[in-house]
Amino acid sequence: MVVLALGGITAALGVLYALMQHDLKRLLAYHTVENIGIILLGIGIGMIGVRSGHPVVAMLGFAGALLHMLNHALFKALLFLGAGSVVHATGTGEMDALGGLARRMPWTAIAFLVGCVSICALPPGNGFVSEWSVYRAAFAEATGGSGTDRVACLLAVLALALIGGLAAACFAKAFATVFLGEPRSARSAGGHDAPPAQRIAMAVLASACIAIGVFPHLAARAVWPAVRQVGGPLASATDAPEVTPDWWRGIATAAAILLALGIAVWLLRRAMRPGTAVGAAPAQPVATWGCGYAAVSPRMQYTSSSFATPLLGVFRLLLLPRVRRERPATAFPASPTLHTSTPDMAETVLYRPAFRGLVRGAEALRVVQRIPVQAQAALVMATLAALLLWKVAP
Amino acid sequence: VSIGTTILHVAILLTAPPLVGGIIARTKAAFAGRRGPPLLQPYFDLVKLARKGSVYSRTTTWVFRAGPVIALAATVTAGLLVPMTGAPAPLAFEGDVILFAYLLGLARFATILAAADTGSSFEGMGASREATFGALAEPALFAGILVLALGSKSLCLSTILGPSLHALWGAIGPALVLVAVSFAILLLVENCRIPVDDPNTHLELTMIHEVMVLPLCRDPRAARAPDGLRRRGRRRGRPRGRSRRGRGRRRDRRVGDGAPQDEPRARTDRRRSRALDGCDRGAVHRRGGAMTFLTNSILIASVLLSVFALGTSRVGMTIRIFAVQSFVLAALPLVLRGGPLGFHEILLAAGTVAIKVVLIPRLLFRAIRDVSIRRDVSPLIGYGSSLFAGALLVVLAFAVSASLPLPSGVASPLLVPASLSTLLLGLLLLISRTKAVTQVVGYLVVENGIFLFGTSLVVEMPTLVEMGILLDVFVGVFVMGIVIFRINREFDHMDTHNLTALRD
Repeated sequence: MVVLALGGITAALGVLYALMQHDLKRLLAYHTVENIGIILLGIGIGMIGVRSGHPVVAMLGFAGALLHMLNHALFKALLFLGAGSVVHATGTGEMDALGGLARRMPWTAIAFLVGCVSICALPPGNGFVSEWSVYRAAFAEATGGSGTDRVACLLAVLALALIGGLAAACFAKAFATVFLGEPRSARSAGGHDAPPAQRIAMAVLASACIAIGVFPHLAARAVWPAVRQVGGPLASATDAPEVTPDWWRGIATAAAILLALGIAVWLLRRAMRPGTAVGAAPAQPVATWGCGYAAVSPRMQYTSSSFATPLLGVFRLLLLPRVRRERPATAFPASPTLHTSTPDMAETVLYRPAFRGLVRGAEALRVVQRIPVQAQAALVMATLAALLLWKVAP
Repeated sequence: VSIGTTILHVAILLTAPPLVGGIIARTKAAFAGRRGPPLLQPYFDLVKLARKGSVYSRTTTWVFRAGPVIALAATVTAGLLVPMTGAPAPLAFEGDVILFAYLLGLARFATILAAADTGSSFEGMGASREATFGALAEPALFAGILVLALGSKSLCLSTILGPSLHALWGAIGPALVLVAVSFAILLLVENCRIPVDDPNTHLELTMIHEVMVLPLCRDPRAARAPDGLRRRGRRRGRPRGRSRRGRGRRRDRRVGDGAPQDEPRARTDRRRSRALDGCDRGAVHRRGGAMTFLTNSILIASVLLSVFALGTSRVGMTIRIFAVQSFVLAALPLVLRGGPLGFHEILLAAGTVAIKVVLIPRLLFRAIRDVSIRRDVSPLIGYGSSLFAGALLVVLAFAVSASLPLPSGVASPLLVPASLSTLLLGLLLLISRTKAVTQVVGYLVVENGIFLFGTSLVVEMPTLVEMGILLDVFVGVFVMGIVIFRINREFDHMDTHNLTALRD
């Protein structure tokens, strides 16, 4: 259950910090934190299942964790490759300086989108498969279990739901600011697509993501032996016929239907488009309707920070963002600035004080360095004696 | 699942949804005193739109065009999971609830990206909002699903919503009422309906709906014509002033439930939704029939009303909520009694109603009229945060009372947690508000909690003691009223915050 709590907190904070990042790679890195949290949730639920002797819970939990590890490896690699191509092409990972790259880097954009869908656990990506297992394990424990385990699993479900929603918001933000709209800077305008070798790498990973999403039962069958080993104490129970990798078959059907429907609607749409009532070819492409405002510039687009602001407001108490700004004072303000950053609580509250304490202790110990060798030897001897007295003597 | 039902299912799925839009438009019109468009108007619109060409902004890419396609495909797939024909859904398996939620998530994701693809800050704003609401709605949705899953011991929509649902109402009726209410709120949130958002009145939100429709229409000017598309109630030609006001209210709207709004329209809507809640409860009662159901409903209502009081900024509203809560609670001893009513019980109930429902609210209303305050504008803890804290307190109350040594013969297992929650929520109200009147209401809510606690020991508690407490409260409020009045006369305001600045 400790693992469960740790997983929940890690995942929730990871995704919240990710949401606040301005840099593409940092954002992805924080999502790694989130996904490790989800894996921990799966393991925690699996452990609860083993302890309480529920084979279904245990197998689903561990299978979810293992599948998520695999899936995370796939889509995170894909996303980092995509981010790498972006940084390579534009020279910056600052999201608010990018934009409109879907036009200039179509291949990277598609691959990155597949990665986004997968990491947000949206069907038909592979992330959904593993999160679904963790969900189901938590639900199974919540309906069948008792006591604190049950409450913990209820909370795990809620945590997963919150994480899912926030992750979707975060990747919508990332993809939208980097690839959609108009370029926000010259560097972004001059981007070019990744070379073929990189494209192939991304294509392979992207198709692996979709493949697992559409054939989850095959993936489950692949990890099954390992999962059964982890669920060792329940070995006899896991051989029962109701514990099978066929649990995932339903998702397979649904994902296939989803893809088929998507393609069908797309084709239908394409078939309908030329036959317009007016009969003329579509007019010149026009600018986005700006509600009558004529002097629209790309700098007026919604930025990634603005996108995340409402959620930042909701979780203000948790994140403690730092906002530094100069409000425009006069009618013609010279340079109003706005700067926001969200310091990582793990860093400011946990690591920094700990390391500061370490350094201070080390400083104090410096005194020892300056005393003569004999005294140092005496210290060693005294320590040894003290340890012996403490451990051995009584 | 037979082929016949599958075909029927798909047919319903593909043809029925626009009808809902037509019904909504008619209902809305009826409430506004108009006749409204024909019921089948959305179908006409769709046919008309299908014949039109398209205009795409030069900013947009294939993502924009894929948005509606993905959203449609995802929604239809999700529709295949919901039982509609009485038989199980065509696609039913254990765990499909989760898939259902995430398919809708996919549709939302596609919409957000399509909106952002236009590169306009308006659409960006709408997209950001959609993402925010979505992220917050997800846990609420899953909390409801959890209740359903716990009740029906299943994770399959066809089982949850299947024939066993009927039995479930009898077993965990009050919980289902809560789920129904929260789903109704979610429905309003996700469909941008009035207490949360009103697509008719403010611009930025309209824009995202425009994104939903734009790929289908050819001429941007045609889109603006009011008779063109009534789908999703979009109409852009509204003056901008309203949109600004809408933005000013955004902080309130984030709260979702019980968000204070000053528009009369919003008020009627909320009233309507409450009426809906009421008739739901009536229906449930007829089905459940048991007395415990009534008791539980009263207890839940008491807690919910306290939460509601936490979420509103209008002082008059909090007073009214307190009155309703007291009224509901006054009925509790009568319900708990079960058998023939004695003179004492009726006297007690009548006394409670007279003092707490009539006298005290009247006193308080006079007080706020005299000092002419209507809103508690600067609470120490914001409305959103205090709602969240309130939820935590309710959880705490339920967790604690599980291990509390309960007196024997407590009428309902909900009684003690409900009373503790009411008490804690009242205290929170007392802590977080600055206006003296709201604090008085907080104090009164605390008293209601104590009253509730007392009812759990109603057998041991002599009527005289109860009367004494009632009198105590009355005197207390009376004194407070006088003090408020005095403070106001001396200092021209009644913000207790400023009392700390006093020095002797």
